[in-house]
Amino acid sequence: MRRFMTACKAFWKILFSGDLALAWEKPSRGEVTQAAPDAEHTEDAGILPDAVYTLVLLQREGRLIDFLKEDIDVYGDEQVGAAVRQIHTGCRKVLDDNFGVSPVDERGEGEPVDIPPGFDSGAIRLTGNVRGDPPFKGTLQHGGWKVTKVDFPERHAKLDPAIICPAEVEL
Amino acid sequence: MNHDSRFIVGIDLGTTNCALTYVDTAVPEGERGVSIFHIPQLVARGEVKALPLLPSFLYLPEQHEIDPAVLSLPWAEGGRDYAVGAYARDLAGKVPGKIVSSAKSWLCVDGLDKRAATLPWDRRPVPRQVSPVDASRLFLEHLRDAWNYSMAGDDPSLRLEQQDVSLTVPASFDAVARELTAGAAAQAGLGVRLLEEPQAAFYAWLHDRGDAWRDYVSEGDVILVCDIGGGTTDFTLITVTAADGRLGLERVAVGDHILLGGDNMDLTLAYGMAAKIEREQGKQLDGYQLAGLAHACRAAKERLERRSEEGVQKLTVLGRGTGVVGGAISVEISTSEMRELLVDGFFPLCAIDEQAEERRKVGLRSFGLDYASDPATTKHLASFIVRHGGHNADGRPVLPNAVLFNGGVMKSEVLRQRVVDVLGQWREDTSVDMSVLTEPDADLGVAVGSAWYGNVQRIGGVRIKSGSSRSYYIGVESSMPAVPGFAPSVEALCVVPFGMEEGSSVDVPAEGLGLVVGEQTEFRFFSSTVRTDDAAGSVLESWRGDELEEMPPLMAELPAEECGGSPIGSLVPVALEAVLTEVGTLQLWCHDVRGEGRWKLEFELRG
Repeated sequence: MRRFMTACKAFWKILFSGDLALAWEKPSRGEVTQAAPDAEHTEDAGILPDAVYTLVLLQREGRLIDFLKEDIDVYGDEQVGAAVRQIHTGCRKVLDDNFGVSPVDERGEGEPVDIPPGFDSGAIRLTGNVRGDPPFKGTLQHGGWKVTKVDFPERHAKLDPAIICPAEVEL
Repeated sequence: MNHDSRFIVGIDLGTTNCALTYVDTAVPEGERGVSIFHIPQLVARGEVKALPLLPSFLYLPEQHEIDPAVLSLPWAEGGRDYAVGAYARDLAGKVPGKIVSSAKSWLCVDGLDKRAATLPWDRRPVPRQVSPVDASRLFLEHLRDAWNYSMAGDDPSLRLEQQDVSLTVPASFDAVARELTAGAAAQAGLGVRLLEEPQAAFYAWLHDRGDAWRDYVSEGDVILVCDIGGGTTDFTLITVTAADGRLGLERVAVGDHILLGGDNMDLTLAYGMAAKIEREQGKQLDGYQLAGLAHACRAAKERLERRSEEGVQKLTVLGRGTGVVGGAISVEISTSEMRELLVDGFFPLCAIDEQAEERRKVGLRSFGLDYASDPATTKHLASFIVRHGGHNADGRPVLPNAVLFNGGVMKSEVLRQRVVDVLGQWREDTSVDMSVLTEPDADLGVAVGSAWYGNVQRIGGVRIKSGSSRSYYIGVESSMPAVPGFAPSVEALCVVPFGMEEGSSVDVPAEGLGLVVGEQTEFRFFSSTVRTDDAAGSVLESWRGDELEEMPPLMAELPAEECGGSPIGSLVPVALEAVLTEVGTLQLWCHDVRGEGRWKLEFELRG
C-alpha cells in the first residue's frame, strides 16, 4: 500500500507544482494569452489553452473530433471498425507521446484488495456495501488511471488557442 | 576539433533522420556511457518539442504561405523562413516542390554541382531552392543551435563548436562527398572527424558489449555489417585479427552507394494496394491518400515482424474531409501477399553468383538520383561479397560467418532471418551456424557508436583498423603514339592506396608530372573500391570497365609570381604528395621538385 500512496503523492505534486501549477481561480497559464484574430469569440468562450490543445493533438494524430462529430449511424460496423483502428492508433500515439498514464492500482482486476485506514478517497472509490470504518476488504473492479506526467510542446504565443485544426484549402 | 572538450559528441547526419549523442567526460572513465540528446524542433506550426531524432527534411515556404513567427524557435525568436525536422517531414507529400528530402544522397550524384541551388529537385519550376551542401549545413546548424540552447547555457566552452565531434558518412562516400560533408560542417562552425556509418554501428555494438566483446567473436571471423535504412543500403566487412594474443578488428571492404531502402518497400506496398483498391472498388487514390496508404503500409510492415502466422491485415486511409468514417477506404492485405511483395521482392533467395541487374541505359534518362534499378537487396549483397570481399585459394569468395544488422528496415525479424538464410545457403558448409551479433538500437545505433568512437579516440580502447575505403588515381596521358580521331589513352597513377591510414601522408613516386605556370592544369581523377592491392606510384595501363570510377577532375593553378621567375606557359616539374587528414578528407599536393613551392589540387565541383 505504501507504494500506492507514494504514487498518489507524486501525482498531486506534479499537478500542483512547477510548470503545471494550476490554481483554481486561474486554470490556464497566464502567459499564453494571445492576440487572437477572433478575440471576441475566444474570450467569451473562456478558452483554456491546454484543454483545447489536448483536442488539437487528438484531432491531428487521431482525427478524433472529426470522428465524434460525424454521424456514424449511417455506416455499417465493418466501415466504422476499419476507421476506428486508425483513429485508435493515432489517439494512442497522443497519449504515449504527451502524457504518462498508468493504472492507479496495478493489481489485476478481480483480485481481492485491502483498504487501510486513512486511504485516499480521491484515488480509490468504494462502491457496493460500504459500512463502518476501514480497514475494508474488497475486490478491485477497475484499476483506475492516473497521469504521471504531461509533456506538451512549447507553443508560440501567436497561435490562436481556439483553433483545433485549421480549415484546409487546396490550390 | 577540441581534444579537451567536456563533451565528446557523435552526430548521425542521416538520409532520413539525424541524431546527436554525447559522452560526458565529467563522468569517470570506467563508468562512461553514451547519452541521447533530445533535439528541440518544430512538430507543428508554432509548436516546439524535443525528440530523439531530427528528420532530415527541410521546408522552404513562399513568402505569404506561412507566418514566419510560427516557424521561429526558442533560439531564433525573430521568425524564420524555413523549417527543418518533424514538421517539415509531415508536410512532405502535402506541399510538393517545397520540401527537400534525402539531401545527403545528392552529395554523391555524378555531374551535379553540389554547391548550386538544385533542391527540391523538380522538373517544374520551384520557387525556392538550396544546394545539397546548404541543406546538410542547415541540419547541422539546427543541431548546433539546439545543443547550445539546451546544453551550453552561458558557458561558451560548452558550445557545440567547442566540442570534439565525430560525424558519420556512408561507407560508400568517396573523397568528394566526404570533403563536401566536412565543408558543410565547417560552414556550421563545427570541426569534425568523419566516421563510416557501418563502423559506427559496430562501435555501438562494442559499446554495448564492453570488454566482453571478445567472447562473441574469434580470430578469422568475417563480420558483415548490413545497414539498410530508409533510403540507402550500405555493406561493410570487418575481420577479426589477432596480434600478440589480442583480438583486433579490421574493416576490409565497403560497398558501393546503393539507393534502396525502406521507403522503396513502403511505396511498393502502397502502389500494390492502390492498384488493388482500383481493381476491386473502382476508386482512384490522390497523392494525399497515397501518402496515407504508404504510412499504413509502413505500420503493417512493422507488424509483420510480430505476427508471423498467416492472417489478414486491413489497411485503411481515413477520409480527407471531416467525414473520416464515410470517406475511409480500406483494403485487405494477407501475410502471404506481404511476404511476396517484401521478402521475396526485396530479399529473394538467390545464388552467390547472381549479380544485381545493371541499370538499363535509356537514351533520354531524366537526370536525378541514381536509384538502384534492381530491388533485390540480396543480389546487391551477393555482388558486394563477390566483388569486394576476399577470395580463397580456390578462387571462391570468402563468406561472412557473422552479421550485425543496422537501420530501420532490419528491425524486421522476418527480413533479418531471410538475410541469415541467404548467407547460410551461400556458405554450403552447414556445420557452422551464422552468428548474429545482437544489434544496437536500429535508429540511434550509428549516433551512439560515433560518440563512443570519439571516446575511444580520446582514452583508448578497441578500435577498428580502417583507413581509406578506396584507392585513388590520377589520369596521366600515356606515351602511346596519338592516333587521329581517338582521344589519347590514359594511364592511371595510384596516389592513395586502399587502407591508407587517416593522419598519414605518402609521397607518390612519379616522373614526368608537371604544372603549367600561369594556367589551370587539370587532372582526370579516378577511384576504386575493388582494387585493394595497388601501391602508391603503381601505374595501371588498363583496367576492367567497372574497376575504376571517374570522379570530378582535380585542378591546380600556378600563379606566375610564385614560381621564381619561370615564364608563363613553361612547365614546372612536380612531385605528388597525398595526405589523408585526421578529419578523414583527402588532400593532394604538388611540390616543385626544383624549389620550395607547393600547391593543392582542388576538386573541380561545378558539375
